[in-house]
Amino acid sequence: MRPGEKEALFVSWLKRNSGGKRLSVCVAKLRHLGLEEGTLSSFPSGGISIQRQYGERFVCLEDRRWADELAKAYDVKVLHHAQHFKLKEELL
Amino acid sequence: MNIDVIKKCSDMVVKMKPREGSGRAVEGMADIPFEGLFGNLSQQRVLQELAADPYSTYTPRDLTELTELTEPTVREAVAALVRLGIVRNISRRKMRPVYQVNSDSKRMVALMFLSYATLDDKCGEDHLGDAVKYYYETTHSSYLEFEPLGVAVSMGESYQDIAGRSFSADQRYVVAAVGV
Repeated sequence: MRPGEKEALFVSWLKRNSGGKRLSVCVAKLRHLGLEEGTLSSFPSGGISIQRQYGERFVCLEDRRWADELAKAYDVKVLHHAQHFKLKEELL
Repeated sequence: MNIDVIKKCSDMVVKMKPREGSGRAVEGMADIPFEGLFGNLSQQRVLQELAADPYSTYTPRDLTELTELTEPTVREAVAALVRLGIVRNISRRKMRPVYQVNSDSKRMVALMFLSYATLDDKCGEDHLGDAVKYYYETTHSSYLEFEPLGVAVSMGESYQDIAGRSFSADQRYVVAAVGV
């Protein structure tokens, strides 16, 4: 599956969180972006990994260059004023 | 800033108990904002969450789930960020606020760079330099009327032209003086 904009947002979010975050928080972020937990397994192999340490599972960004390319492809690497935010219209 | 306030803040950081699990997390996976650069106060947790994804919109509940803070704490932290102009409420409904990062805030851009710098210090890579270059290319390149590299090259050529002309003039002077 080719990662879309939401997947790019998730990967960029993970990268800006020092490249690792607890699985429970990652699942919350996936829900926030409107993605399912299964999205984690849909990423290309070597992109991210799930590691268990001290009884907790962490999602780690393994291929940071890939994350960079994905972020650039969807223009979510750095915030700039020329960008248009896609608002959740139904909430407003 | 009042010294008492600073002392109070530092006491809060010292007294703060590590959350179960995350406190024992191995090096490199510590779940604290900006790797603990600014401590672990709730407002900074919210701020890091927003800096990590400034493109999305957030309800207080979203931020509660993502930061693992209580909703009153999140509301208080977001209110402070709204006052600082970093975040704005884009909802028309008073009882259902929806927050979005103020895209004009340079501080938020700087915080995004800080996220990359934190990763660089941890991994020994250069994501910050790449992000700054990308930011320059996407925002500022259209404002410039000339390319710095182009100017440097043309200046170099001019310098070589001048030096070359000077050298040939010197040669002619020597030839005339010696009479060869």
